[in-house]
Amino acid sequence: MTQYPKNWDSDATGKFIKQEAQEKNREIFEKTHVPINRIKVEENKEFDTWVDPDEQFVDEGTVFDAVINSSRDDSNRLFFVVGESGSGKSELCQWLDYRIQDQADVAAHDEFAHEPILIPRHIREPAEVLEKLTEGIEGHEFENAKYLADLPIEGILRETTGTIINQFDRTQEDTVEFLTSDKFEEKVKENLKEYVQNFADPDESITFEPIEQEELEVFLEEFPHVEHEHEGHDIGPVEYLYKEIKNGATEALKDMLFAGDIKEVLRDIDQAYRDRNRRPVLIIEDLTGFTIYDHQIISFFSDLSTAHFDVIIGVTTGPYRRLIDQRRADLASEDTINDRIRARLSLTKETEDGSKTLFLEQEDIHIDLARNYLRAIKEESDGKFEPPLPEGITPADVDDAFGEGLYPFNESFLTRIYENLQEENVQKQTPRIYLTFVIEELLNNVNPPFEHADKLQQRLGIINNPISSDYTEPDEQVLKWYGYQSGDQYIVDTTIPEVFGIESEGKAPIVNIGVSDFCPECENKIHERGNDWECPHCGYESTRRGEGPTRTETFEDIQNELLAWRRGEADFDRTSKIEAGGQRVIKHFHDAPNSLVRPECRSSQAAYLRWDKGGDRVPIHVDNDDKPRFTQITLSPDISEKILTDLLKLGVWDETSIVAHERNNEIDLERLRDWADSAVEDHRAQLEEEIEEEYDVSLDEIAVFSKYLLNVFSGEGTEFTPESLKTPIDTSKIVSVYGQTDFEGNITRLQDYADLLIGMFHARFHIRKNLVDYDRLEQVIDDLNADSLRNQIGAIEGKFKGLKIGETQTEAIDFDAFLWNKQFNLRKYALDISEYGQSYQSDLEDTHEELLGLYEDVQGFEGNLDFEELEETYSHVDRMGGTFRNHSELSQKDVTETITRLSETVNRLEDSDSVWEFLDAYRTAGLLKYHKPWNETYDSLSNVVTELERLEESADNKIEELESRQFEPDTEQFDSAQEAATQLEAELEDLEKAIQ
Amino acid sequence: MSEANPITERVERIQTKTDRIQKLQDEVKKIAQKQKTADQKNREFEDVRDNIRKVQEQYERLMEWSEYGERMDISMPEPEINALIDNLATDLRSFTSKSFEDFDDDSEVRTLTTTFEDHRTSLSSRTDTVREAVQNTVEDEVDSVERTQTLLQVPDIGDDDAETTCDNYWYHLRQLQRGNLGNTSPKKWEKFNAEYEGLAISLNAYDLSEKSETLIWDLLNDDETVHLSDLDGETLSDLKTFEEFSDIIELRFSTQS
Repeated sequence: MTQYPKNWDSDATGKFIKQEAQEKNREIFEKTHVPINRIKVEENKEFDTWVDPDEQFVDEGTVFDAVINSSRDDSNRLFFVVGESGSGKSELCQWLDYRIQDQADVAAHDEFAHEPILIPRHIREPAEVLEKLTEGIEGHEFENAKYLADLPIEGILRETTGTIINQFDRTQEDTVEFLTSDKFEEKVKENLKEYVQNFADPDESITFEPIEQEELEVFLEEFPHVEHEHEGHDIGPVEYLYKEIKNGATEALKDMLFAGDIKEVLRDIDQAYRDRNRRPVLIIEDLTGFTIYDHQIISFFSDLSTAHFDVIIGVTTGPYRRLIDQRRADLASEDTINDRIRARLSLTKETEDGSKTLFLEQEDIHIDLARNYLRAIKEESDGKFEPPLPEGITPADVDDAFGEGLYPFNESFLTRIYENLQEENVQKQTPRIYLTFVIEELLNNVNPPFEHADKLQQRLGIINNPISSDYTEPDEQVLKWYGYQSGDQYIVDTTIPEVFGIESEGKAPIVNIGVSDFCPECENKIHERGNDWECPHCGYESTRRGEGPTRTETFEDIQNELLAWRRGEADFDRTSKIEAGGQRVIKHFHDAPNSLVRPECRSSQAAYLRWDKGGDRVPIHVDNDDKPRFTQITLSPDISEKILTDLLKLGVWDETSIVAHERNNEIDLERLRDWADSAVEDHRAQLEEEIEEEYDVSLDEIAVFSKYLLNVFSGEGTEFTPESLKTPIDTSKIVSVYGQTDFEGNITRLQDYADLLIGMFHARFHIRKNLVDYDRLEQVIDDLNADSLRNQIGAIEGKFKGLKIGETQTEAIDFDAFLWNKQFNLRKYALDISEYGQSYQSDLEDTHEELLGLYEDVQGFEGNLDFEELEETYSHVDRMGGTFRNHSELSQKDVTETITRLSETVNRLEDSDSVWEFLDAYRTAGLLKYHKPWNETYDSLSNVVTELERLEESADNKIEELESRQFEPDTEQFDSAQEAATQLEAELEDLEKAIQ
Repeated sequence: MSEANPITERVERIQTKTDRIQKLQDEVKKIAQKQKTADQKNREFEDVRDNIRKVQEQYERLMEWSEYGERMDISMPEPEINALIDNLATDLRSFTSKSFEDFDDDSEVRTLTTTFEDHRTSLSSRTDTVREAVQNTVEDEVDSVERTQTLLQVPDIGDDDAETTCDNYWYHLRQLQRGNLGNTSPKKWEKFNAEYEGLAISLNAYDLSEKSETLIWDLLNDDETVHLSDLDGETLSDLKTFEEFSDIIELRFSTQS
């Protein structure tokens, strides 16, 4: 819908609904003003007439009387009007201004009277303040004064920081260093910028702080010596420094703006008014925005008793305390300002959820306020409906249906708006928000108020709407905004939807309205609401007093949010109760909802395999179109309203047993059971899916690989079939025999963790200890083989936080640690086997050669050789004897068995076509070689064979050596003697030849 | 199991091999004994070799002195020397014609050692004879050279070359005199001897009488004694005329006549 009948102009709304009272002329002000009759008086020295003496409330007329209850010579009197922004301070100030002015106007020329000077909230420039103050007196010109908004920010910054520095002495070097640091200057610049920007916007509250005291304290941690330079004052060094900085900055602003001395101005006003037999009533609408004068104003009116002002100062709640405290700290005597303050008039009060404007607590005042404005606006317009009302509906019908003058709202609508007013998620019920940000906006929007109001969630929060979230008829919104509860239905005058062109029967079902409490003693339902009741069943008396909302209120409050969320109107933020309810239901039906042991598994050997995020608690996530950080059971709006509200009940009445809830027909336990089963099943499935995504391998595959690993290393063979995998293994048969090979797998640790690996397999494939889910196992391994699975396990990466595995809960370790981290590292076995697959052939050949050699060598051996004869051989060869004596008593049975095993092992080695088969075959070889009892016979046989071989070798060597021994005389000396003789002979022959 | 029985077979093999070892060990013992004998014999040949080398050295020394003798025209006992050498050559031939096995044992070798020792002794004796003859001649030559060297000290007699010739010749003669054959050789001796013999030294430059000249030569000869009675007045006047002689000729009283 884009249009609906309007009998007002948009221009008129703007005219009447102004932010500040002063922006309206007196006529408009009078039309819309609603008397402010609930003003709380605090720090009272003036009032003794009350509209509510218990609460010390006065009305605006009493305030007026008090303000003008002063004589010409009375010293200054201060009235503070304190309240949240928009709570009516301007309205009250304006009303007082008009009333005081009226009183002055009727007074005779020389008759004593009070005369108001109103400084509205939007007047913030010091020059404007002075001009406003001096409007009625002569001799004050402020032509040279400058406006802050006109000055360049850099100039303001330089002047300000320069003046701040000059507040200190040149010898205070650390202070000067700090004040000239980039950090300090940046901060001041930032705050100045914000201040100047806000200065021009009357909606923004402004306080001039070059740096806040808390910020200063933090900054000074980096300049630890600065504080030493400001010790010895009455106040602490940080506070002293803060004040000096602020004084410097304020001085700088005064100099820059050339504003003059406000105290002098005030003294002149005092004198001028006295001269006219008038007493000035200075009304400062908002001192918070009073820039550089706030401090001086307070100082003037509290210090100087020579002036004769009645002063009404509006201050926003927070800054009020600061101003007064600051002033008190300035003065030698704290009494001075207290003496001057005649009363503090509060317009708001703090509530648990935020704040509330007091006068709006007057019965139906928000209706009257709206009606006043609507009447004024409609009177300003031509009064015709455009587009026209639907046929058959007259303006009188409209007034009947909506309430006189309230169209397009009704009382229900306005009350809902008022009760839900908030700012930044905190309750803030002020007329300004009520009128400006809701009423005016709704009137000006082309869409009907019930449509547009739904879009004002930021201002209104979630409207209480107990209509069943399953009710999706077009009149749901109209019912929600204009309707009211009647029995178990929500109804509305059918004229209202008709005016907006919406078909409606004027009623809708509601949810859980009137939910009752439970007796904590007998757990029976208590039909009375509130705190005070007595259990009709057991006589238990509720003694609960003022401890926040009752459980029923809490339930209805959260349920409202839940329903809005379910309708898609809002996020569901207060989820702790429904989550707690969800936890209860799930834990009621499932002992271990986070367990990843197959639900059908009843094996006592199954491992503890659990996603332990947050302990035993099942994490529950409420879906607000966001993704949970980790896997959780998700509550989404598409879950039935009944289940969701039942979960909420169980979360709110968490001390009442689930059985009692059911017995009292408060919950549908069967449906909750279905939900819990399905949620846990989905949760587990999701976890398993995420685990598989993370590791790229499923829990089932990990379990299968674990069992296969055990099969191979315990001698159960290398078959990768359901039959072989389901076969139980004897973990004591896992023995470490691979030390002499290149295989690096840690078999000792595998044995240590064997029960855990078996437990993993049981958890995933066993139905009972001795019963395997054969079909499932067959299905899982259908597309797998040992090598592909090994490659998958070997490639595992990723982390899955919270998943634990252990033989028992107390022994549980992180699944990451089980899979690939230090503690167990299943992946390492896969990698070791893969790596060994590249090199095992060498070990295979060596082992085969060794065992085959032995096998061939011991053929026919009966273990009863007479070794004595062989001992004779040792006396002829270079070898120690005696070896055979150790083996002379070999049992024939042992020898025969060992030879048989040897034969089998050799055959298995010969048949080994894969690393798995070799590891399996080598295990048998290893047992023969290294493990009792086989190794003793094996060693004996091996040693006999080896020794015989070596003895024969030694004999051969000996024979060779002896055969090589021949008579070969050494004739070296003979040869050399003959050589000498030959040489001499030749010499003699030469001589003979020479002689011849 | 009637199939092969590797262990039994191996044990049998080992036993067979053990028997073989025992046999071989007996043989080796015998070889060792033979070896021992041969080693002893062989070791004895070391002395044979040493003695042959000494004979060779002695023979070479004899030949060298003999060569000096020949060049100095000294008469040599050649028949004796030749007989020695013939005997030596015969024994050498006898030895070199035999094999190691031709010697039965070490005592046989020791006989051979003695044979060559005898040869060396004979050669040595003959060498001494020749050496002494040569060294006698050398001694005369040394006297001659030394006289010449004295004369050469007289101014205007001889020259530097003559002095060098005398020095060289004298050096080699002295080596022979001391038996230092390593620092000279027959060829060198012959060369320096020829140079020395070629020197023409006269006293003509002093215009002396023949008597005076003879007297001076006699004075230069250490073996010659000149008595005052041998000097006549003319000779004395001659000698006194010349300052060089008058200052170096010294008169000495002798009680022997």
